[in-house]
Formats: sequence, C-alpha cells, structure tokens
Amino acid sequence: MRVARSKAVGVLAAVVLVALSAIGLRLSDPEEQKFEVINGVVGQPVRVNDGEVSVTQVSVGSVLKQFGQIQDSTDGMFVAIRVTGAATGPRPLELNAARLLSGDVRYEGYQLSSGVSAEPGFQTTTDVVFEVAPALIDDLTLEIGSNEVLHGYQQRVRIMLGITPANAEQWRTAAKGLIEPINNTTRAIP
Amino acid sequence: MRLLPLRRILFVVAAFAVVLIYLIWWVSYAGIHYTARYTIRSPGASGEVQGTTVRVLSLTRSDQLADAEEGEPDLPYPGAVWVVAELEALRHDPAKEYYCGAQLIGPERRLWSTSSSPTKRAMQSCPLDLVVGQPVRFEAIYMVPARYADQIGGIALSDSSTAARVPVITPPPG
Repeated sequence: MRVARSKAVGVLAAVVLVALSAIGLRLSDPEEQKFEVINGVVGQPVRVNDGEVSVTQVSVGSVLKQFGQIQDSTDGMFVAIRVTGAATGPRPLELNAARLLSGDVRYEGYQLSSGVSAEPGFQTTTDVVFEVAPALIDDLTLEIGSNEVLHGYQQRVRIMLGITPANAEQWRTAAKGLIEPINNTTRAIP
Repeated sequence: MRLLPLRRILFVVAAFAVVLIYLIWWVSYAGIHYTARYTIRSPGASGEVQGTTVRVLSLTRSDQLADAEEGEPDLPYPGAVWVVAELEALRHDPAKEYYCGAQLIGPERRLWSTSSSPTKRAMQSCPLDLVVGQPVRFEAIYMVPARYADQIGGIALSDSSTAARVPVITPPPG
C-alpha cells in the first residue's frame, strides 16, 4: 500500500511548523502564568495545598532594627509583612518564596528574608521584609509560593496590603521611623 | 506523484509509539517511586536502611527535655510535646553509610524530622561514623503537636537514594 508522498510531507511539515510555533510562543513569553493564583486579603487565612497562610500586619519604616541593634537604613522604605503559615494537612507547608508586586514592579525579599514554612500540625509566624521605592507602592501585593524547581502544580497566594494610590502618601509619611521585625515564632496549630 | 512505502510509514508510527510508551512508563515509574511507601514492622522488630539494622528500644513522650548537667529543661513550642526515641543501630555493610534518616511518622503519614535542643543530654544523638559490627545506642528527639502525640506510628527509616519501601519501626510492647 502506498500513499502520496507529497501529501504526507505536507502534513508532516505542517505538524513541525505548528510545534515550532508553540515552542517559540512559549519561549518568547517568560511571564506566562504557569501557576494558579489564589487571592486573599489582610486578616483572612487563605487556603493553599498544604495549609493556610495569612497576613495580619503591615508595618513600614526607613530604619531597620533587628536583634536589638540598628541593622540598616534606607532612602526608600522598608515594608515588614507579618505572615503566618499553618501546615494544616499531612504535608509540611513550604511557602519559601515571597515577593512584592506593584503593577509591573517586582520587589524580592530584603537580604535573606523569604517566606514561611511549617512542619505538619505547626504554624509559624514571621515578618517578611522588603525594601521598596516609596514612589512605587500603589496596590502593593504580597505574592508568596513555593520555590520548587520541579513541580506539577504550583499555587501562589496574592494578598493586597491595602496600600492604594489614595492612601500611599500616608504610608510614605509613616515610613520615616524605625521598624523592628519579629523573629520566627512557632506553635502547634490551636 | 510518488508514493511512500508502507514500511516507512510503519517505521514512523513505531517511533512515535516508542516515545509514547517511554512517557507512559516514566510517568508511572515517577508516580510509584517518588511517593514514599511504608512497611510497618511488628513491635520491637528492626528495620534495614543503608546497610544498617536499626531498632527502637523506647519511645517516650515528655513535656520538657531534661538537661543532664542540671541546666534548665528545654520546653517545646506552645501546644507541642517532645517525643524521644531511643534507638540502636548496627552497621553491617562497610560499603554503605547510615545517614541517620529517622523521621517520626504520625496519622495520615505526617512526618516530623529530628529537632535539636540546647540541653546537654545523657545519651548521644545519632553518630554519623558507625563502626561496622559494633552496635550503637543513641536518641532522636522530635517535637510534635500534642494532639498527635498519641497517634505516633513509629520511626520511618527514610533513605532518599532508594525507591524501596520505607521501614517503619516501633518499640517492643510493654
């Protein structure tokens, strides 16, 4: 049995071109969303795969005090976000990648400041610290998720911190003073 | 118009089939081997890991961790308790080393890793350089939420270098 070579070659070429286009599109769009976004608000726990995460407090300042000493100061502003992660399920909670988003601007954690993790049945509270540009804080949103290289299904929690264009000036004014983030505290989930 | 021979078409189809079979095999293999599977040993029975036989001598729950040099006892986090496992290990394969992978396993396969404590303990923690043929006793300290302290399944002898079932060992009855 024989089929027309020109037809088969045409079909194969079409398949190859479609595959190349798909690869090209994927490569040219690094910002393509490859995760599920779960939105939350300050003060309300957000459910994720292995537990819950919540933001309970946002504080700002320009001088950073840690371990009883002045550690750093900035011409910008420090933002300390109190995050609690609770491993409510059987697996550990590992939300070890945190960043702040404001429009297209993206801030990574200050120095070693990262996310929050907890073993099963425990909850950990920590202050995640960021250094941001005071002029670029509109709709500042905490994005927190896992840092896994290999994963099948990733979730990222986004919590708007309540800094809007309308009240941004008040936050900038409040950021003139000292900020003292807490160390990690862990307890069993009540 | 030239025609393609059937043999060439079959070859292409076979190549696609081989790739497809490989993908299905890999997904199945990963599903089985990257999810830990456990074998619960009878009470007092030993488990084998990394060329070493390990058994649990006792599993003790406590609200505080005593200091052998009469220092302040170490308290667990609020709502948690200490669980101290006394273990005995006998390394019998000089080609392998025991890396002290021993996690406490609880309900729904909750796993807790060993905790460190600033207290001076009477018994040593797991030594990394076990001498072949010489049994060694040591303790492993865990902190677990109090609500799960009565539901501990045993000690899981984890070894990430193998896909074999993880033995879960428990202390002898009584």
